[in-house]
Amino acid sequence: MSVISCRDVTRKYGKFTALDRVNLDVRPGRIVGLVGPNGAGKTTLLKGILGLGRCEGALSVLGLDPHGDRNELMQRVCYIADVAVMPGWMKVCDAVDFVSGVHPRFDRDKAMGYLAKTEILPKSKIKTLSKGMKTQLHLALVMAIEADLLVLDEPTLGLDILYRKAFYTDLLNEYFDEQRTILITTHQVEEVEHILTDLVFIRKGRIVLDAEMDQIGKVYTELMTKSESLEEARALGPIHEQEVFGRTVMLFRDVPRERLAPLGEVRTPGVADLFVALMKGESA
Amino acid sequence: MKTFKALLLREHREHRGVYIAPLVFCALILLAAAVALFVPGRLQTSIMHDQDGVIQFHNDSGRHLFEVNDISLRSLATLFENLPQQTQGVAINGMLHGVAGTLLPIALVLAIALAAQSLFRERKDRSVLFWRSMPVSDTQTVLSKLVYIVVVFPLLFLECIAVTQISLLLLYSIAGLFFGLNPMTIWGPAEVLLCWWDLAHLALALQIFYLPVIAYAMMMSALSRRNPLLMILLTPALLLLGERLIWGGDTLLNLLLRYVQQGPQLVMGTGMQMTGDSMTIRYGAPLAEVMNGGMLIGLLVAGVFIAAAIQIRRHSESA
Repeated sequence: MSVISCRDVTRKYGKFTALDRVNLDVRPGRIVGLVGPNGAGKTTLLKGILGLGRCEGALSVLGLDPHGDRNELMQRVCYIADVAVMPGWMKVCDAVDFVSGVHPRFDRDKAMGYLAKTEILPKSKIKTLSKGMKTQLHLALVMAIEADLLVLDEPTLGLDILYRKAFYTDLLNEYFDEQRTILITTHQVEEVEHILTDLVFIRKGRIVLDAEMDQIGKVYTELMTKSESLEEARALGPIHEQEVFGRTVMLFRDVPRERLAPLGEVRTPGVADLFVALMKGESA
Repeated sequence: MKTFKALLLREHREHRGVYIAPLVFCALILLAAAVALFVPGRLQTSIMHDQDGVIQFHNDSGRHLFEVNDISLRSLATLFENLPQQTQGVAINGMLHGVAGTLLPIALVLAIALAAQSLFRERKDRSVLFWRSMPVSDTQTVLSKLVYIVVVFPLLFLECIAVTQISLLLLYSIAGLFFGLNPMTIWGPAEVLLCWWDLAHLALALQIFYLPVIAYAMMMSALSRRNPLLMILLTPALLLLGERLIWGGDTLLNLLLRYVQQGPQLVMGTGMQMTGDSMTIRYGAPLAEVMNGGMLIGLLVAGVFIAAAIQIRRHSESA
């Protein structure tokens, strides 16, 4: 059974269509990257998944209606938006007390154990913590919850590279297992591509790519074309073309590598390159 | 129940700062009392003496009780010790209720201010995303805020009043000791527990009476994008203006004024009873007053506002 199932999910704000007949299935035990430019509909989709906004179409998360069964859902789903959402007036120990008081699947000792590995003091007020520490605190709280789905919306926004690396390392080492599913939205695709099992691109409210990471190398190929083979390569129908240091780089979909190899250097595109290509080009 | 307790505790921790106001007032009252005690009473004399330099005390039926012609602390202590026990009781309990009477309106204003921020602040600092990531319904959240404002906060406020009253009694006892006044003369007639019982009763009655205002403030707090206090004031002002401009009447205004004025009447109208020789100070039955006076309509109106606040929070996408 899918952890998240979207069928023709649509959300309109007046005349503006934020989500346009989105179809998406997320299976258990996957780490899915939801990537898109600003205004693409990522947050709207996450709001729908978390029951924070109503959508048309059929949307089910862990077999529940996110809007109608929100309380039940939030016992099994954790959510980290960005560092600004932890209440600044609260002390760290108060935050632990609060989650312990309201969440039946929260393990207080586990949370304190995670916090003990950081420099965060239990008596500190959250507003006195650095951005990185706030994220560490939020992650410690979330990792101590026995959740089936973790939704991360730009979780490392504004953090320096050390905290960003530590965040994803902790997430993989301390939290993730085959029973859990993680859905991440981020702009910093290079940092998460090594942990993703699935990649979803969204553009103007539509899903333009939904593929397993293993499949991307098989489907998409990047070619740094020799100047004499330019026209021959173009004839194979690249989905994107750009000039890099005086050479033409083309991206192909479903073109065998053997056919491209004589025309230049062939390689698997990075997620960032694929993202740029698909955002500028046509729908995949 | 565990969730609701955690939510109430959260409210209490969030609003620790709100207790600064009553504590400051309490400290001011104590300071004023200390100054009045230890600085000889020239000011009191000039204010209270009649033309012959004698202060006369009468009960409400005009019967002469006692008079003071020397306002030094020693003479006041002696005078107090020689007063009939019932009169001592009136003086001491009058002081206790006076402190409460000064502070209770502040509690009400603070309760409305809390309500005005209750569902706005979480959106302003975006912590609503954190709260809503927990398995807590909007109904539980809004009701916990309401219960905190209407029940927990006034009780904690009464604690401040109680501490001030006890401190005042201690202050008077210490001052009295310097002039040979037996502290039991002060503590004996003080009906402290009775006073607290009455105050809790009264505070609850006032909160119930003004529940529609608090609920309205919470609804506006959920609705407001920038300044909930402005919306709270501006909306009825526009309604009143609209009524006057369109229908040329003031029915709404009169209704509103009558409602607002009835609260203080609840305190003063049935308030301190110093009848004849009995000289006891008791409030009437404010809860019964509230129950009799259109309480159901008030509760219904409050219920509509609270239901609206829950729905607004639930459907708000500012998260």
